[in-house]
Amino acid sequence: MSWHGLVLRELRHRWANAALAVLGLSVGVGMLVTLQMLATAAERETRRVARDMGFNLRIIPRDTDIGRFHELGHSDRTLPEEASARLAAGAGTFVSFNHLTPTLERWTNVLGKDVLVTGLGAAITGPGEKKSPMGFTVGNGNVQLGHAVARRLGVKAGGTVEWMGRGMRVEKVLAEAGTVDDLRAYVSLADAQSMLGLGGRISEIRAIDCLCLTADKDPLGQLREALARVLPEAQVLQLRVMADARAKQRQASERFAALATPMVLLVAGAWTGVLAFLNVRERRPEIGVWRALGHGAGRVSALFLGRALVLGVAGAVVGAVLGTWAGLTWGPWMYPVTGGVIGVDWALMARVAWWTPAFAAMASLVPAALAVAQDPAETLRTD
Amino acid sequence: MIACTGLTKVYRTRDGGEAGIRDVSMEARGGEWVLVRGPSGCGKSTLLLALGGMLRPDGGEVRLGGLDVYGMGPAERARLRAGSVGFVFQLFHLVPYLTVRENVMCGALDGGVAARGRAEALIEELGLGGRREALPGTLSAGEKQRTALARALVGGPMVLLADEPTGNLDPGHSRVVYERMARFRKDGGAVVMVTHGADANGFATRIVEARGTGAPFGFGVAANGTRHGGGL
Ligand SMILES: Nc1ncnc2c1ncn2[C@@H]1O[C@H](COP(=O)(O)OP(=O)(O)OP(=O)(O)O)[C@@H](O)[C@H]1O
Ligand SMILES: [Mg+2]
Repeated sequence: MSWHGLVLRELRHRWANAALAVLGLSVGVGMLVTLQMLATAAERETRRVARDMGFNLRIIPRDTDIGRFHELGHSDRTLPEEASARLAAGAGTFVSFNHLTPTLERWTNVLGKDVLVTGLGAAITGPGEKKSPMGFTVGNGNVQLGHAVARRLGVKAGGTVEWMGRGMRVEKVLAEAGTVDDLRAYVSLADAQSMLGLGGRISEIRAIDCLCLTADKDPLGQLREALARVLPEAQVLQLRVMADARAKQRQASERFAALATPMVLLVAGAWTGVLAFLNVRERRPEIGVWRALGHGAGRVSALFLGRALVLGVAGAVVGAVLGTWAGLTWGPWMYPVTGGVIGVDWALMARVAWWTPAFAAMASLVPAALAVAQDPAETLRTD
Repeated sequence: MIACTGLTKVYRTRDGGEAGIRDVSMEARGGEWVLVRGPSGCGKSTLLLALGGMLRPDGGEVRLGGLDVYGMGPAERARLRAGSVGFVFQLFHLVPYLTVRENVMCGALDGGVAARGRAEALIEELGLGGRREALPGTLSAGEKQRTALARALVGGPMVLLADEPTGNLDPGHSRVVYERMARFRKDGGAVVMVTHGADANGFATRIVEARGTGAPFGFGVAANGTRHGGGL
């Protein structure tokens, strides 16, 4: 009888143990796969949500008076526009921060109303980062109006406003925000500079914490260092609330994974280990017979190894399929924003395909090897 | 062919007593059938397992075909068992998920065509022809015992060690078994059989009686029922 024939016959004979072992392995593998997929989705979701919360870093001229800054909501000093490119080129900038957006903000009077003109330049993103613009961009000659501004001026999207001797097309009226944003008029940086007579100047560089570094690595400290090196004329302010919200969301999902993963490993491992142990114990007389008939220790151990490999592979396949299915089914429900891009993690699959059989083999090889090493007469004694 | 000298294997029992065998010496040459007789619990199975290289004794020596069975490593001993020893266990110990035919084949390590032929012949001779595809769980005790004998013989051993090989057989089937064992002996093999019954007496060339009833003890050796003083 061939070696694999023996393995398969035994599996069929003790199918209940085999089925339970596959069940335990596949539930464990499935949960790990799902957890991993959801953790990736959570991470992505955190970033997306964080990004949608807007810029949380404001890099402003060093000589800005902070009292004045908070009174106005922007710096009344300026930096040269090329400062953003210089900062972007500085080493270490993109390690923790992204979407450097040169901005020029000033309060002005348009047709007798106070308006916070906000000129947005093109965002500079880190290498390898998708070029998707943060928030939005405004083309030259266009304006996006805050809710209150549009109401006061009595204009709607698609209309035009006569402004500083120019006709600007109202591209969009923004939804009511309940903040100073309702008083903004977003224009392109170039338009803002020419309107305000501040050619080549910006009042700040907005940026976003990319959440690439954990808090213990002090991302803000790193940015301050980069700033001191390449842009000594600037300082950085962080919108704490936003940063904390991001960090907490991220930590929550990390902690969940950190707790759930070892628990799943422990339960599935114990389950599989106990079943393997019971199988070996039940087969002690059989081990004794094989040994008594003169079969080598390696050959007998190989029966258990083969069994474990079959179960491990079956558990890995079933678990990977079920786990992936569960991840694809529930991922989009849990993470509506980024769930659509949840895909199969092939690297994880490769690890599962390797580790599950290896684990199953370990679980049965240890008791089997101990039994094989005994005198056949000892092993043959059943009770 | 197979011999032991001063063989001792003592078990400590729960109540502080001792069980097993002490200082047993005996021999079975090719063409001999040695019958070891004694009451239940006197250590017959212990002796046989130690003779077969499956139970390391506390003291004494076992020689098989001139080799010191416990002086070699476990792998070498396993090879010796595979090549030279056929064993019929008191409790049969068939592999539960293999058929009668496959269980018999387990006794032949090479599993080649010649072994398959020998297995078929043994199955027929021992009256198992109709049960060759049956699993042990569905066999009667007698059928299991005959399967175990076929497995012991299929590898063509030098020595056959049989532990109560007819304990569960009716007289007719016992006879079939004894005759097959006798043929093995006549072909030059050595048989050591342990039993507490007397029905194999006529087949044995020598009978060894347990010397006493209190355990542990050695065995007195008798040739054809005649009691001798010391161990052989
Ligand atoms: N592993 C062991 N541990 C403790 N005691 C043992 C062990 N094996 C055997 N014994 C004891 O040693 C004694 C001899 O056992 P053994 O099986 O050799 O007897 P036996 O002569 O074959 O008996 P039977 O005719 O009933 O088969 C018994 O009292 C038994 O309880
Ligand atoms: Mg016995």
